[in-house]
Amino acid sequence: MEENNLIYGLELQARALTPQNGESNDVCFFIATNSLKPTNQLHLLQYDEEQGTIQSKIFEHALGEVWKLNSCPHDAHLLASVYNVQKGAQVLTQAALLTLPTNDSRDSNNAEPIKSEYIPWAKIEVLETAELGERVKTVEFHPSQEQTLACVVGNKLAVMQRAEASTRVVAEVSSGTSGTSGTKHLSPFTSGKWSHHHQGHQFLALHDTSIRAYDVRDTQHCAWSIEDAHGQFVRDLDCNPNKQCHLVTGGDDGCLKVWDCRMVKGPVFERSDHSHWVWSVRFNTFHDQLILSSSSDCKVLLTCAGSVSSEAPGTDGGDAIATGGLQERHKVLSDGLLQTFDQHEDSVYCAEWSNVDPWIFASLSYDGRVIISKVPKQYKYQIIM
Amino acid sequence: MDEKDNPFDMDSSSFDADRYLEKLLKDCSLKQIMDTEAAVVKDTQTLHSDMQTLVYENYNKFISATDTIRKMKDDFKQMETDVNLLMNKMQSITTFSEQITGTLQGTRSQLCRLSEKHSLLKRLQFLSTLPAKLKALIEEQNYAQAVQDYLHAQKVFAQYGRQPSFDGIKRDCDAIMEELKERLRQDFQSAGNTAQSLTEIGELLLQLDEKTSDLASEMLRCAGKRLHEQIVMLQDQTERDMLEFVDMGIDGFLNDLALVVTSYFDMFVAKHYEHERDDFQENALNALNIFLNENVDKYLTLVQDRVESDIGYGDTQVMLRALDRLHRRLQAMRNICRGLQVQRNTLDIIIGAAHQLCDAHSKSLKDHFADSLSAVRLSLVSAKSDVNLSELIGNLYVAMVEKIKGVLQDLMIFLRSDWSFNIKAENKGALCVEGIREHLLIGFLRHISKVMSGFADVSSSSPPNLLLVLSKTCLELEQQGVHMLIALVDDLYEIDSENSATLTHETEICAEMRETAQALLDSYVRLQGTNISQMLRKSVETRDWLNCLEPRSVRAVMKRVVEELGSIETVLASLYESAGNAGFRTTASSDSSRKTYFSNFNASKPQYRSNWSNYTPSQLESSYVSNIHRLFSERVDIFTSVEFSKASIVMGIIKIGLKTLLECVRLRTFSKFGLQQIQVDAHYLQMNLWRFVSDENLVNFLLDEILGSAVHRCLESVLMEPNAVEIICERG
Repeated sequence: MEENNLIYGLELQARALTPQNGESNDVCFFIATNSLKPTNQLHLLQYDEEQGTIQSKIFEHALGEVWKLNSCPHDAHLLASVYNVQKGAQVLTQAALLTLPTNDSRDSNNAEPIKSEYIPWAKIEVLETAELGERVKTVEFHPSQEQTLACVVGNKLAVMQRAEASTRVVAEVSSGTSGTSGTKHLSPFTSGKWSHHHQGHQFLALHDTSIRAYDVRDTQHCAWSIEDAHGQFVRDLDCNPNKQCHLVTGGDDGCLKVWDCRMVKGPVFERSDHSHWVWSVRFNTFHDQLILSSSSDCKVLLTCAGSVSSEAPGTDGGDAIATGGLQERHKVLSDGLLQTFDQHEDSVYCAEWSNVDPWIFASLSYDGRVIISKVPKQYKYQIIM
Repeated sequence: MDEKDNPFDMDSSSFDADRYLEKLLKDCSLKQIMDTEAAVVKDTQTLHSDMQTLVYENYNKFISATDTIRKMKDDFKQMETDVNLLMNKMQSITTFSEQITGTLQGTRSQLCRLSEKHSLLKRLQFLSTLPAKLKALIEEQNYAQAVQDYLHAQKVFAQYGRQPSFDGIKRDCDAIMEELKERLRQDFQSAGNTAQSLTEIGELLLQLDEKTSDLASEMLRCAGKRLHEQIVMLQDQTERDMLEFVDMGIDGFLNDLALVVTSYFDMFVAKHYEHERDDFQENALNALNIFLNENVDKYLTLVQDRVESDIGYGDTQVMLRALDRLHRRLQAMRNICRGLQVQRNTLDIIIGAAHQLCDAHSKSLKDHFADSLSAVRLSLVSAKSDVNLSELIGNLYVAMVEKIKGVLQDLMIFLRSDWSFNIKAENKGALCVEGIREHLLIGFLRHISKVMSGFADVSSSSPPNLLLVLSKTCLELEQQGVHMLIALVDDLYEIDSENSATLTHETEICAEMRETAQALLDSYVRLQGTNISQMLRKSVETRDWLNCLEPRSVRAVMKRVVEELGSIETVLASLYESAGNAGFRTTASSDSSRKTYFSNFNASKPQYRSNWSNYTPSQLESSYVSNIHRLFSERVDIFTSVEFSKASIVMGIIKIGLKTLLECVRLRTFSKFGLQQIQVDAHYLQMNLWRFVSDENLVNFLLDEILGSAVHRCLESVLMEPNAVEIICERG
């Protein structure tokens, strides 16, 4: 496996990683640092498979330390970052949309003498979130509507229409629903994600140990929910892009669970291979039997959930509506843990598949190490042959 | 040299006088020769006188013999005349006798004729009174006599049946007998007759020339009806105990059956009937066989039903005694009826009973287990914190083991040597005995393990101490109980499990038990770890770390964590002796008041990075320091299995707690004082946690990570003076 890995190091702590979703040719990832020092950076990594090298473009993220990055699936140059700002004796978490310079402008910049070591941004747009709350958790691009953003702030969930510059609060966890601690400490949403299905009307939000699906057309309309999905916090989720109603979650109990939202009583698939909290879970976009998960036990695990994937024999091929590229039926591996990647030395908060090459993924640990790895050849061949 | 041919011996026949003389003259002196001559002369004289005496004696004897012969001659002459006289007298006697015989001849033949006539007359009288006599006999119900008389007369009729006078009598008799037959037949068919009388009537009818095959089938039919009545009667005897029930069955049903079978056998199978077809006997035997099996079947089904309804409730011993009696009886019956086979076996019933009892016991064991589990749970939940866990475990364990032992002993009853049956002799029975081992014992052990694993499930909300109790119980079973019980069952039932391919081996069960114990313990660790985590997490999340004051004391939550760990340790200490390396631990850090922590690495121990207290501010600025240290340290797995020792369990809990603290710290931003508070807290933990664990370097490593992360997350990383930290921590 060793020759499959490529390591890229940051000098600062980092917790944000995302593939460049709008890019369709090259394997590109964004990473950003999470440091209280004033010089936070955002790197665009481009992986060259033939040469086995990583080329990086470094941008400055002067706004503050980055907690989360999301890239726009419609525009390769657009990404959203969530960052901390210190205001007096308070720390606020805000969000901004960043636009990369186009190649032309970059070239022209290159011609000039280098004023700084960083490439400047084409545009920085700070989102108006102050009214919503102090703590932005994530900004999610709508999978099909380019102008729509979902913003999870504190205990509120808001949908923004960029074109109209309008913001609408869709859901709010009030103290009434969140138990006994009273108004003093409201447990906020942890994160969230757009559902790939339901015509993009559903947004899945994580709250404490539960998952809630809100219909964004109607305020406070909870379509369905899974209470106590995990024994402790639910840290992350991902929707199966090829199979409706299926989603994967990871939580503080170290478990990875695949759910069918039509059957909220129990998971359809469950593993607990991690020995600490699971911080991120991702379906492979092309072969959704492969699930990538990262954990604070310093490991990245590649798990196969073939029996509940869209590729499983017996499931209706019609489920594979999102991708037209799955004409032939691929072979399904047997369920279970496929591979452990333990080259990280610190907690791995992010692991992401490449949106271009189904066999490549990147993982980022807190100590700033990015590792770009490949699915081991034997599994790759088993699936495609 | 031949003595006889010695020519020098005077007594020998080959004595040569000349040579003797020659030799004498040659060899001897004169004196000797003269002596010899005198001796020879003397000898010669002696011999001569002897000879004269002998001759004289012989002469005398001869003369006396001649005298005797002469006397005898005279006696014989007198005797001859006497004999002649006797002969003449005898001749006269003979002639007289002949004369007497001739005169008596006529009278004797007359006498003979007279006596003949007398008997004939008697017989005629018998015949003529026969109808009346038969009637009388029938009135008296002395059927046997009547039939005998009739049969007697039958011969006469056969001889003289032509005569009209006899014909009348015969017709009368026949009519009467026909009537009798009818009556007998009715009796035969009517209910309420004992098998004994049935047999008798049968025999009478047979003598009266009833058609054998009809009678045979009729007999079986009637007997069948009667036996069925008995069965019905037995069915109603539900309130009697098993022994009485079987006795009744044996006395009533089986005896009757045996009687019918034997008489049928004697009447139809053993005898040969001229006027029946050749295969009649064979058919009769077949019919009897079917009949016998049918009835035995019916009866045994009844018994089996009874056994099934009784087993597990009544006294097994009584039932077995009853079954034993039944078995003996049937065995005896089997011997009576040679040529007949009773298909069904009481052994099957007994084996069935054994199986059923096993099942019943198995169920009761499971119920008992469930009860004791809920009792344990109840006492854990309801009682105060000072429940004696080891006592609970002891109770649970002992109760379980004793119960199993009791059951095993209880089932031994089936194998008692004084029963007439031997279960193990039959294949099914042997399987049944193995079933006691496999299904009852092993099954129950597996059940225990399975039920207990259920508690280990993350989703089940069991009190942590329950997990601990169950885990320890499993461990105890694994270490002693399983072996003891399996050895017991093998010993009691003489099962050779070591060499059997089909039987479950002890180690399998032990492994299962151990797995369960491990799962329960891990579950306990996670649960307690999560509790600690929850406290730490809340404490970090709810505090405003940017605007806090300079730390003056250790935060209360840290004290609570230490207290909590202390109470957990107390509980654990009652169950697990401290690990073997306790001595090492105390020597390593017995000095709890030491001022600074200094790395005291043992070469053999894994090396954990733990020297944050030596950081200079410049080192803290660089994340490389921690990265380099990390390279040389071992990875720490948080949610992993722990060993069955106090230190390992507590370490597992501490690891989970500290890792949570680390992750929470990384999510926050600290001011200078916030950082210092963390520093104080970490130092407090370091001061207090070492006594719980065997490997304090691991704790220090995790605390280093926490403080290191806090430094990274701090806006103004200035650490407190170690001395100040020390003072705050000691103040408490």
